[in-house]
Amino acid sequence: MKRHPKHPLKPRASRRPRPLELFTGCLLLFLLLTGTLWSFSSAVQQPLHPLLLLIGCALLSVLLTLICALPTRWMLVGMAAVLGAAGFTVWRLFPIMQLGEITYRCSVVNTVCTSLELDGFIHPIAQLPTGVWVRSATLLTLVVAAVLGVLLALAVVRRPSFSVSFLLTSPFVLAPLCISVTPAWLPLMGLILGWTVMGLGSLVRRQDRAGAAKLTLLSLPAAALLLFLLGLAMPQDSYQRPQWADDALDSINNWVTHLDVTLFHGKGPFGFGSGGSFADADGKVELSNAGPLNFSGRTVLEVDTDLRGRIYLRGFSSAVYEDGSWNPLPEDRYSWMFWDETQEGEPPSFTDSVFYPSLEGFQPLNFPALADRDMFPNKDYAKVTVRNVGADPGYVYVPYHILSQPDELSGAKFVNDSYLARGDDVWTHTVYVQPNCDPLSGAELPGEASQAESTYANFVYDSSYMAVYEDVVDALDAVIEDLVTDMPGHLPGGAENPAYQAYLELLQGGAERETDITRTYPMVMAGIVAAYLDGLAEYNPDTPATPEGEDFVSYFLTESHEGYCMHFASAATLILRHIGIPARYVTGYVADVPASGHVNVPDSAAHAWVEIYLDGYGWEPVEVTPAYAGSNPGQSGTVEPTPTPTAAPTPTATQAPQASARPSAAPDNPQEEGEEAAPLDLRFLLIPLAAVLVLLAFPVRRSVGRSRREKKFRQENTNRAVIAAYLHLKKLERWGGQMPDEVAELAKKAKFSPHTLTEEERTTVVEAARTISAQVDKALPWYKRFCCRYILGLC
Amino acid sequence: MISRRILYAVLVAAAVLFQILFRFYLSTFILVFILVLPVLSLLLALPGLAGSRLEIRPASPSVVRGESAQFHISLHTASPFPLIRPRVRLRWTNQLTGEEGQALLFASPTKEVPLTVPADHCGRLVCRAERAWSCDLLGLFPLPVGRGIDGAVLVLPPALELDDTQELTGGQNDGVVLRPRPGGGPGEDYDLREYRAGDPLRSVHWKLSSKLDELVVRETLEPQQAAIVVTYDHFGSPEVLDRTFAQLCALSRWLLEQERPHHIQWAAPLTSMVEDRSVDGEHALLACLELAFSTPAPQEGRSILDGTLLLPAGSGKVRHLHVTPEGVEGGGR
Repeated sequence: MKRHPKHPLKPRASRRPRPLELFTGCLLLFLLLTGTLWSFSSAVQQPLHPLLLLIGCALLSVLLTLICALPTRWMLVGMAAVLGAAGFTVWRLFPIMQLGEITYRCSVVNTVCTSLELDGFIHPIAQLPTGVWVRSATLLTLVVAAVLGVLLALAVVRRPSFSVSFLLTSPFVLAPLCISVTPAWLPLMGLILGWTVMGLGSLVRRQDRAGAAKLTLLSLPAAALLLFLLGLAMPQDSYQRPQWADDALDSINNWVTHLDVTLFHGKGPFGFGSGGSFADADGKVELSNAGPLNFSGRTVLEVDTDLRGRIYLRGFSSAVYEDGSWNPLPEDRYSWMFWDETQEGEPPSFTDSVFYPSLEGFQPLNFPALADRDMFPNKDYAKVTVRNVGADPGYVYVPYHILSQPDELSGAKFVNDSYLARGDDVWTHTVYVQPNCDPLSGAELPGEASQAESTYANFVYDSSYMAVYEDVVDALDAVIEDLVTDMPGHLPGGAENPAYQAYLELLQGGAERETDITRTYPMVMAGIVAAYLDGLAEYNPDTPATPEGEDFVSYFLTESHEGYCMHFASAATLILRHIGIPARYVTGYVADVPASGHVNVPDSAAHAWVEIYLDGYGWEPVEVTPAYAGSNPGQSGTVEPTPTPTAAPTPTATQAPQASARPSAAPDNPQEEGEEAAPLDLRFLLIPLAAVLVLLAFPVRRSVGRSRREKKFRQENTNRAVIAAYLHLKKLERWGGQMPDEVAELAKKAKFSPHTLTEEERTTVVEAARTISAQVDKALPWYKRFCCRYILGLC
Repeated sequence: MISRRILYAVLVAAAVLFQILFRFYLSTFILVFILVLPVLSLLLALPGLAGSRLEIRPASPSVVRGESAQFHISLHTASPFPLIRPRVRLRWTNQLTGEEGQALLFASPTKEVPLTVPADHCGRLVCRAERAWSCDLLGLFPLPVGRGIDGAVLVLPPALELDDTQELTGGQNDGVVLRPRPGGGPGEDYDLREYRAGDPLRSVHWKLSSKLDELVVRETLEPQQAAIVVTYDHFGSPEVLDRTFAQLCALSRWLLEQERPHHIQWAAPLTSMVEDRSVDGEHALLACLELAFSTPAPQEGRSILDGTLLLPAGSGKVRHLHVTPEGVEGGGR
């Protein structure tokens, strides 16, 4: 195809604008100039004198527009004069300008700090009346307006360019938006109106600037009306963020996390680890920097399960508390217990530790499930599928009481007695759990498993699971003293406290068998400790970080008396150890599984709790955080689907989405979410209503066309009726209809002959028109038929 | 327009991203506004379309082969608002040879845009607007513009001198016959016949009528030259046709200079029906050529000599001249 040069008449020469162009340019200049500066000042919450600003911008717009009408040489002189005047103003009024700069600087810094929740708010030192600050800021704004106006005038009036004007003005708005600050609505709409009109005219301006000016007169009110109507149709008061946007944000966050893991922590081009899998998890929890909890809401786990209600998804446990952090047990402390002869590498050395034989493939995390399975072999097991979409990639998050043993797992591997590590590039894991295990049911481990448990129990009592950090001992002693001297007095509700009642019952011989005592005692004491902490400290997700030099747990127990799950779980773990019960700190997520069996676990569901060791049974989780009171981590939901999930504690703010061991507060309660859901917005009915109206418009169009046609065919004047039928057939010719010769002849006769056609002749022509119309309708493909029928109304 | 669409898609994508990342009302407002913006753009473009029509006008009705044919493309609009990027896809076709080409150009409501088409072969060059369209303000949707009527230019063969006109004039008096002169009048040769209603009374031969006792009319006769029928074969390659039409035009013009009206006949290539056009002047010759040039000529066809000639009505003797690419056959040769 031969292509001729584009835009043969492109008026690129920088000619002087005509009066209409000057007028529309002046309007746009005023909109952009005022909108830009006012939006910025409102975004940073800098008060200005609005009338002064409007008048100043208007005068500047008119002046600069007139300057743009001058010949190029004189225009440059005029622009230089305006800039010179601005400079002169700064020179002469420098102290006022300094005040304006100070107040603007304070406003900007404070807005950034407010938006990003940073410290560092600043205030002017000088104590001046508010009016002085406002006038100073307004004057500074007008000086800036003069400089910006010169550039904008060139880009809007003299040589209009949407891209240049957008580049000049957008930073003033995009900068506040980047820190989630929305400018005032009116100036923002003015600015958007200016951008819209400039953008709509950009295409036509290339070929016809005078025509573009005419078009601006049309598009300016039209765009303003559109903005106004949109504002009416979408009131800000009832704004609800679309769910798809939240979901998309989750997906983006998860995608970025996976990308980060793949590229920088895996086998990717920058990777140094092993795909965030076995060797990547370190089992460490840094407590010293645990400050106020943040919350992003992104999904970290996707769970599909037969279980219903609340389930605790265990990540990993930490054993050693020192220097304000939880750490795993050193590898050599496990001796030979978890050594697999088939694995590569050096066998563990036990020269510096007590020797523990191999557990023969048994895994302590399986002990409770195996015991319960042995006692209740016919109990239905539950299947749980967990997909890691944004949680710490090193761990597999699984519910309690898993039946899946080490040799039955694929894509995951038990790491000592601490956690289940993720395999390379495996993000979804399915495990089977024994639901509703109860340590007080009398379940005992069978045969070899019992021997393995006995070996492991010796290890537990000898290892760091009983160790207490020296710096905490004083605080723990104080706790023990409180409990010994006046236990009811330190528990919420006093003697009526359920934990205290259970304690009394235990003292009165409530446990009949020895196994009952060995298991009931730790459970009851865990309850006592949880109740004690509930009475001692207040749950506060905004608890600041522990001051430097203070021990995390000691400060919590003796000074701050406020904290969240990390504080409560850490303190409870050490208190339990101090009274002789093996305990460890556990990190994971808490999920409320709805009736559908599918739940997206947000990062805000991260949590920390405690596991205590029960002889002959294994590790049993206990909840010690007041906000989660009533939850039973050991009871992993129910297999029977329930219409409503277990009641949840009050939702609170949660921690940052950092894929670390740092947990956060309670997740949102889905039931409460349902109750608090906003009523259906009736405006959404407008969409289906509009769709129905559009659908109805098509048959109406066809019906109207047909009735008008038939009316013409039946009119009294036969000549006109025949001509109408002839014209109809002429239209149908474009769609493939054939004009019969007889009809053409009769139409000519009707048009040019003085004779009046007979009724028979009219009938002949009209019938031919109807017949051919039907033939055309039948012969056309569907889209042409649609157009012919419902848009043009021909058939 | 594709670039504008891509730009708009990027804009929508940016608005969607803004909606995802920015949690407040403005993001939804901007997204909806950007989605609605094309409708506004479309509505604002409609006033400019009112009464818009494209016109294709040839610079001259005919050109000589080897020169260039030029068409002027202009856009008429009744609206004060501009048409946005009006464009037209033009296709020109030589109806005789079937050669064709196309061009895409930007029309303008304020100035005619020229389109130059090479005229390499004889024929009728028809320039047609296949599609004429404008677009909305954002450049997203095409909007149709009235295409108007086609423009046509005749590509005539260059002037050619006939080789040997003596031979053509050699037998010019052959076949002279006497025919009644319309309107009567004085003359040496006459014929007698019975009176027919409408005959003027002064044509009645009264002396003879009295003898015969019935009205006898004297009809003046005049000599009439033989009708000339020029034929050619309407098929062949463009080069062959160029030479044929050059010979044909030269012959026809020579005959007209000799004040010899004639008929040009050729066989329609598809139906073999003989087309006959009387040529009594330059205008008639151009009309005849326009008809001939409008009829597609295939590479192969049936010669008119294989069929029968259409004898002109009322002619006596007929002289037949057949034009070939090489010259003229028949006549006095």
